[in-house]
Amino acid sequence: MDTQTYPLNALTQRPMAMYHSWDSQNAWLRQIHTHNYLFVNPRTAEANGFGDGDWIWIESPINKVRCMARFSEAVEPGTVWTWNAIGKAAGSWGLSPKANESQKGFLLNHVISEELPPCEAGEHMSNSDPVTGQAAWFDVRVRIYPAEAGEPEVTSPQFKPQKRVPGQDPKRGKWQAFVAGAFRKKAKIQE
Amino acid sequence: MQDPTSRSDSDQGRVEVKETTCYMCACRCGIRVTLRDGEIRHIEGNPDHPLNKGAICAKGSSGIMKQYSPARLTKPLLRKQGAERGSSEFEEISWEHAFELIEGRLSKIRAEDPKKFALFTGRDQMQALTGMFAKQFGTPNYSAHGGFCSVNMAAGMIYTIGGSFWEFGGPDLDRAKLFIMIGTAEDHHSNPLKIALADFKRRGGRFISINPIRTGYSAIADEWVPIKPGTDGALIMAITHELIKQGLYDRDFLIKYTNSAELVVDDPSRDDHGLFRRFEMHIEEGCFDPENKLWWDIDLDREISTHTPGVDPRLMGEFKLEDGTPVKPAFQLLKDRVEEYTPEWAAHITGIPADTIRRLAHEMGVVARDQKIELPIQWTDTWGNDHDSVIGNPVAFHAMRGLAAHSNGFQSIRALSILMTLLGTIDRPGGFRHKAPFPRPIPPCPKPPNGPEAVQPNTPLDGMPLGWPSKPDDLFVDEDGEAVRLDKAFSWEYPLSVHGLMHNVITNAWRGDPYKIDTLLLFMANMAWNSSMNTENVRKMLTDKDESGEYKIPFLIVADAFQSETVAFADLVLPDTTYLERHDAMSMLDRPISEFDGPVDSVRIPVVPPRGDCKPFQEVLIELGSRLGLPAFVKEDGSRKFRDYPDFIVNYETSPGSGIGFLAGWRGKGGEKFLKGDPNPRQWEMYKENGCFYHYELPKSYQYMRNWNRGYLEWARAHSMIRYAEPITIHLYSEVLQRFRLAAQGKWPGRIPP
Amino acid sequence: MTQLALVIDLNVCVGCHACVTSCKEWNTSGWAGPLTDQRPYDADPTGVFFNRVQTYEAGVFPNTETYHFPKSCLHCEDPPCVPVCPTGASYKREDNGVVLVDYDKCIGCKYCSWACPYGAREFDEQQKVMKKCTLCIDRITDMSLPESERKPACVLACPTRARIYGDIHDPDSEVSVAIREQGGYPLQPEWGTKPSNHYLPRRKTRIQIHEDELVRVDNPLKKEALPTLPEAGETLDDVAW
Repeated sequence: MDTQTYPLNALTQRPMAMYHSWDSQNAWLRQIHTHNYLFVNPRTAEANGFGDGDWIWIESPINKVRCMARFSEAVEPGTVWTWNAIGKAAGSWGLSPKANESQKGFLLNHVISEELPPCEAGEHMSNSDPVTGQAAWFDVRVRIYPAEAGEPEVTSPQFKPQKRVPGQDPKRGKWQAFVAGAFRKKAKIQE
Repeated sequence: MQDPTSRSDSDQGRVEVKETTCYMCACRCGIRVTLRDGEIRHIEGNPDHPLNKGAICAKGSSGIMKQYSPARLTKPLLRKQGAERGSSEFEEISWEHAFELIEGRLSKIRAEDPKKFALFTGRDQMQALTGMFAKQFGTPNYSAHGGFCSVNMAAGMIYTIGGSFWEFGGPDLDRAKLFIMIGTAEDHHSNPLKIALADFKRRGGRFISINPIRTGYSAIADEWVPIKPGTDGALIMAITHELIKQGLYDRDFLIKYTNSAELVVDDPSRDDHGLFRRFEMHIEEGCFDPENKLWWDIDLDREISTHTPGVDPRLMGEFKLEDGTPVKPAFQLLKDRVEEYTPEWAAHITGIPADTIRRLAHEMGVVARDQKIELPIQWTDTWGNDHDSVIGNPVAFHAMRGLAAHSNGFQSIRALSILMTLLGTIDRPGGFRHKAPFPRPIPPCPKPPNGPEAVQPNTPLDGMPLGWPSKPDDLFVDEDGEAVRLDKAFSWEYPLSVHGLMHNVITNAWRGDPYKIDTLLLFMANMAWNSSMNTENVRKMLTDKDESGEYKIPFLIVADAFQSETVAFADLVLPDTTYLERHDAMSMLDRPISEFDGPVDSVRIPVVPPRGDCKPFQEVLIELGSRLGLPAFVKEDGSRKFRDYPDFIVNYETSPGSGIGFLAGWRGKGGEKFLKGDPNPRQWEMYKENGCFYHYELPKSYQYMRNWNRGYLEWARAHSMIRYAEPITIHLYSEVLQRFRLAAQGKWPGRIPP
Repeated sequence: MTQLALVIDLNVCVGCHACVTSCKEWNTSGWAGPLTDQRPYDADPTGVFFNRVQTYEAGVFPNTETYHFPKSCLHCEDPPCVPVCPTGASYKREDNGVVLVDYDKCIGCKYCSWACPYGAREFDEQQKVMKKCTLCIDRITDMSLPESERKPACVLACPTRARIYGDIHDPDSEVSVAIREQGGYPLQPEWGTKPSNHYLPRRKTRIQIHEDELVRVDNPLKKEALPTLPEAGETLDDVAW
């Protein structure tokens, strides 16, 4: 691994409100964490030429992701990190294709390879612990740099918005006022 | 507005209160669901539940929004004729149509080559059923999400101390005085850890968090020690170095309960180098550590059988046996290994100052030694010695993905387990405590099949799809040493991959390496998004076609309750229910919710009817098992054996008349037995009457030192939780790993790598 | 007079937001509901929450502290939101000191939210009325509930039991004892609002190990045949007299 070119470790943590990744599309929970940032120590950000809230690229040897940076003093300077599985593909999980999860949220997985580069042990060795086959998510190394002026202020990669499927509820309206006993009828949710 | 004090919620509409088990995350808290006119009014923690004691988290309280989410799938869906995979173009079909499609496809695969069907599941809580379905079908290609989650934590600890964090054990914060949390990404465990951590802090316990990031739990730590990712092993080795250098280890514990004093052959030229020196004795075949090893007796200055009464053995030194064999105690090998791993050495790697590393070691060592807990609980060890008390060295640890999700994770976690052992904290008050059915032998008994002949047409798999290899001969490889499984688990490349390698399934299937498959069934696994590595390319693989225009992964079935990213790539979508609409069993055969004080399992019972045409995935498996005529699901005449999933849970036995089934509570015809007993037709009702959980509290004398507690082990054997009431000696030194090293060097008498 | 309030223990709060959604869940179908959501499945979702958790960092790496800070209406003894209300919608109950809003009287003028120095009020953009924490008034006064459940939803939910509920005017109550014994403090007392809710501060436990404590007489190394010191050659014993 070329740690000169890719000097930083990149990790994910669970948001405290979101232990386990399921259901982050939940109407209440998504108001707590509607998109994620890359958390960066200010000294690391300064060295890489960007500021708090700026659009940046995270690049590993296999892929790169565009996202927003957020300064944090609660991370050691050699590490950058983000919340796990807040980012979603546009149109998935019953959310609008414009939802923050897909437009401002991102998935770090794009920069983490499932295989190692070809090496003497084999062409297609798993990116895993060689004893147990545990996926080595947290081994990934990255570099970070500011996005160019004029780049779209949306996370990358983006995918063609996913269509709703038959049997899903019709698109919900602008307002939701949940009151037990009266909700399904009002929201036209089929039994 | 009406005066709020004159209003009662119980007067608003038709009110019902039902109990079940949460599934908003993997914790499995007990919940009480209040309904108003059939809609969910609120979900609260069940105050009588042993796991969450009334607490509920942000997700648990948001279950209403899951239930009524617009992402819910409500109909079986088939990819439209002519529509490209990934385009999310589907047509509604009936369940009967869906079952016919799957049955047709799978019965053909099963008759030709069962391994062309692969079943991989996410964080499902029914692995005992999904795994059994795969075995019955005859495919080795099954696992859940463990391989991409925290298998290192399970394997590293179970291969060392016979138990692991989270479901199978954890920190005893009720009695600990020092708590070190190292490498948790705010993950397992959630509510129980929050509850215990807060009480621990209130009692004045000291909490140190070692983590590159300070969020969540680490925020309330008394001290935050930032560390560079992936260097935890170096830190732990340096702490171990310092503890040994200062003599801050529990010598008595190491000698009696671990293999520290056992003599290892120390001559690299010999074929048995690094193996324990064993003497001839008649041993019943079994997966336990036979006591045919040696200590070095200090007084006689010669070798002697381990656990000889009155003998004090050496932990350090190098010796020659009577026959001239050079040996060292296992502890000496550890000492040799950590000799160079000084705090200064680790400081450079971890970014933690050497003085801090030394201080951490001193805090751990001195608290363990000087703040001992002695509980007036009598117990008897497996060698027949009576003890008047249970001793605890109150230093507790917790760790999870921060250590696990690295390519050095297994060894880092083994190092942590050794550190916990040196401090004398295993299954003792204030340290690490097991949860039933653990401790289990090191490694546990079930083995994967060990050759391609285990896979035969129209035949169940000969062995469990997942198991615990103890030697190279347990690997699941063919004559050329190539993997039999699609994910290459239990191969020479990943020998102890006890949870499989789900993260490589799509790539391997796409490439046809080691072979092409036909049908991939994914349940609750978002492999087109956050459950895959290299997601952007994995999405391409899912839609990639060969020269003939066929998809490289020919048929993809996705079972999920929601319109996840993966649903878009399905050929067939099976709409699952939510947790509030289904029966479930958190089984002793899988990962129950046991407490330190004894076995606990639990169930879900529907509180609302399923939406649309949703069907619980378990019902899908029972239906398919019956249609395909898998032996466990049909009678001898081939007719259906189980009406539905609840019927299956009550009546299924691991073998006819074994008395062991999915649920441990209220067994026996009238519900008078537990763990083992005849099927009880009223078992679901009895769970329902008892808050949907069964909790057996062990006698106090069985609650500690369970690796070596005769009373406990005999009780566990009598209740079929364990096969042997033999001591589960801690593997400070891992002979299992040495067997693989010897094979790599060509010195193993059995299988060697190609 | 009774003054009901919450005491929130920042020493154990891990910022899990259980209080946030359990509050929303109870109250949206309760007396003070609904807690309306705007754009629930679209861009920039927002909505009414009576209770929110903010997370702050203090200090510079590596001496960083991370604080989780749950915040809701503090049910002030002298609430500035009450006198500014032109319609009498905003009021403080005499029987238990809880500050409430009567939506039937509220005209949505927002004076109260401007007057509140703590930003604890929540405007419902759909119904155009001001909403806020009621201390789950419809739970705590509901005599059909067992006493153990006559508590705010957030208190019952909190996994770390960081939220204590009771009468701060009763010197023997759990809340009063906690405030007295654990240094409970109100937010910004200088504004004279006399907030009823209090916070308990972070506390640190340290271990001091003296060098003398490291090695004990029963040090296990003494059991091992470690190499002894080499023969030192001549000593004063050999040459001095």
